[in-house]
Amino acid sequence: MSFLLPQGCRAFIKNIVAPNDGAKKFILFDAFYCSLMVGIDARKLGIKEDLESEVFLNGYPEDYKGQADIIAGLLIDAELDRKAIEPENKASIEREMTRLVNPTATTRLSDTGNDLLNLYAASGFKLIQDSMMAPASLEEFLVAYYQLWHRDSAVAE
Amino acid sequence: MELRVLGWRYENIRGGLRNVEIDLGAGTSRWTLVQMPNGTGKTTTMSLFRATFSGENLSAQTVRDLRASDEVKQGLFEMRLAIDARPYRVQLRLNFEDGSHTYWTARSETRAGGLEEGLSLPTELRPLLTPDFTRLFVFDGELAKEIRAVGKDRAAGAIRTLYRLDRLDDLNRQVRRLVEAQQQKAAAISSATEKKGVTRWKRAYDAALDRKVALTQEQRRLLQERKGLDARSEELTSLINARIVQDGSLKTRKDALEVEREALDKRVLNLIAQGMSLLRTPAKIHPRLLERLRALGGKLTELKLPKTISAEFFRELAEQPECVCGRPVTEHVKEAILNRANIYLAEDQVLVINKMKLALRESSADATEFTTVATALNGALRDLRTNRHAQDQIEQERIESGDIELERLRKEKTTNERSLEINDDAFEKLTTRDHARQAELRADESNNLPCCEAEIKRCKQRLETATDTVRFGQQASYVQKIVSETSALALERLRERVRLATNEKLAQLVPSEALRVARISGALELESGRTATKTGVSEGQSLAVAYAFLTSLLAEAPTKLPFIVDSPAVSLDVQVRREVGDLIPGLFDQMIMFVISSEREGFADAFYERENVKYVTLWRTGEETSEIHEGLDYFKTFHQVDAVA
Amino acid sequence: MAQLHPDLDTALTETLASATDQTPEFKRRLRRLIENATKENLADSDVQEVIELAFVDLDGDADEVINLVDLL
Repeated sequence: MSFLLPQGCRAFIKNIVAPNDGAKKFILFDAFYCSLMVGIDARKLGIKEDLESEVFLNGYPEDYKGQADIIAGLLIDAELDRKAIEPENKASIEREMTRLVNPTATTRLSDTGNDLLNLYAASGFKLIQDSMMAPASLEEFLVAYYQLWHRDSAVAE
Repeated sequence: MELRVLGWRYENIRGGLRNVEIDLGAGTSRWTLVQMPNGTGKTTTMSLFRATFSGENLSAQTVRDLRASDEVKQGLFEMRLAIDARPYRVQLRLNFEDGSHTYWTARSETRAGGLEEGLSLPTELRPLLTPDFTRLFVFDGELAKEIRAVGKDRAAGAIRTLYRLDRLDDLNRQVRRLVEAQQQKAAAISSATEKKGVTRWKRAYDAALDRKVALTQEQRRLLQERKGLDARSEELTSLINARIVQDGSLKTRKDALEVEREALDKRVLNLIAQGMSLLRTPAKIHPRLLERLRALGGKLTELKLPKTISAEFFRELAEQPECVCGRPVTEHVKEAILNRANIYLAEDQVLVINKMKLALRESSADATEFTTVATALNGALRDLRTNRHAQDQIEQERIESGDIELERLRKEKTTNERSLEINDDAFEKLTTRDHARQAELRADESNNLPCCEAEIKRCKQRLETATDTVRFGQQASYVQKIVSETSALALERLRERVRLATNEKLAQLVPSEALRVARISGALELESGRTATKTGVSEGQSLAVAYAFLTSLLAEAPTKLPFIVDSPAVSLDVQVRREVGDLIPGLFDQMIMFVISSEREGFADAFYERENVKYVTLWRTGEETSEIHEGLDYFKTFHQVDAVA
Repeated sequence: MAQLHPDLDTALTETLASATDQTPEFKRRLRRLIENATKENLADSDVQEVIELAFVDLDGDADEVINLVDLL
């Protein structure tokens, strides 16, 4: 699985990815993942042009390896929804799964699935940028990210 | 390498050579004298020898001219040779009807000596078996004049070929080709194909190194500055604190705030850790995600997906003679089954999806965890802000109470913080390896260390390529120089050697005449005492010179060739005949001489005393027939008149 | 064994004698190369190898360049 960061992501997180600071363990992939989650949730695909051209990581980092099945499941769910595949249409669902699943990949995803993941991250990052300024600290980001998800239920100030 | 003629034969060749074979025998005699009256095909034979040695391209007219009579359609000339004692058979096949011809070779190595089309003689011989060169050893009387013709390169050319100096030219050509290949390869990597390239890349490389030094200095400076700023920051903080604690009550407040701040910082770190861990669990980010995951899992189970029947099932079924329903599995049925198999998930895909279902079903979560942490974090941040504000407040109060020093310190602290920010930005621009970041900050090899290092590496590579190319080119030129010099020097020596040897022989052949070779440039240039170069040379003298030269040339050559000559003595006067007869034969390992009866006296008779001589007499008995006799007696006594015309 | 005609041999010896800055190995290999050339017994790689053994001085810059390359 070749992960591509959305354009502008690095600049956005430069204050919260501090390599020398041991306590702050926000890595590039975290940024990708946060974007991905938002994009998948919105069922919105971004475009290739909004992604960096060079792969920044191959395969899930240690902290995410246990989530491979879940993320794959979320992708399938998103695609079924995005393409309005009927929940009762067994054959279509099966076809979709065949398209997206590659059992031998560590990410469980086929190349098609791989590409889709990157595109969801692209759109997700744009949505993140719309909702907050580049965070000055990790704690600031966590709060803002939470608020992005829980807009409807505002965190008590 | 040694080439010997073992024999030859004719089929349907004019001049009575309908079906004649001459066999020089296995233990080939060193000298063979073939007595053939005029008109019996001596000239034809010589031409055939030359053609067959060199694979010469003959015109249709030439081919037809060899025709024995109108009835015959095809003709043949075959030579049997021994090359380093290995037998070869070479044929020239003539088609008189259309005037075409082909060459064929039988080599002892190939398939029980079968004939293959084409002339396949050893590679080493090929430069010597050209139409031009064969005239040297299948001696063409005309050549005698030609080798003295200035403007032609016959003499020197012969030396070069025979002594293989032409191979050294080939070597230099090979060197040239290698240089060109190298340059092309280098051109693909960089455009440095000349010395200019070296200078250019060396300059770029030096410049890049200098820049690295400068950037490293800048890095040191920034770090130093940062240290200073940090130190100053700490200093200022203590100074500020010091001023504050001068006031007892303010100190108390300040201390309390400090304690609180430390506790808050700790709490924040703790909450960050918790938050990150939650963040990385999708199900915990929002209840929605969990719901979706569960729904998908449920859906799959409900739809009985993945089917317990997997693609493998179908594939195996297709191989069975009978279907599960009992029907036979014909080719048609098999195809249909296999097509369906593709729709169903493969076994390992099923496995994955089952795992996924399990994970989905088991995703527990309490999405409220994230809310708790986020709320707490938000609260802590707010508290920190408050704390910070309160601390500022204390400082403010102090300033307002007249502590100008404190105000000054605070201002300096702000400036210091600003400087730290600037330093941070500059440091990032100088040191970041992140390509995207580099692009954003417009960092390049002039202001960024990693970029500069990459540039150094690039220049080094180009420089190495450039110098390699230049070096290789110069090395190659040097080698060419040595080879050319060697070749030229060798040619000089060989020319001199051959000249001296030629003159030695001339001294023997024509002692009374001042017939000597002055120089072998392209041609054989004769001297004549003190007067200008002798041009008026008699035929006899011309021949003598030619023999002297050729024997000198061929005698010591790396390849031993037979010397085949037609009427060697006819144009020589008696005295020279004798000398030629005495001198020349000893110089060759094999000689074949076609003589006429009048050459017996004074020339052929010189051989009668020798051993290892074969005598063959061939004469025409009719329009199309010939007879052949071996042996000295017959040779001696043969008289053309006796033969039936 | 590859043998050269005496005149070619002498010519080569003389030419190499004046090549004082070349290594014995280069001279030996070049001699064999020439011997093989007269017998058409060589490959491009043979020629390449011998070329690369030749010592050349790239007009004084060579030393500098060589040192530089060493340093890297």
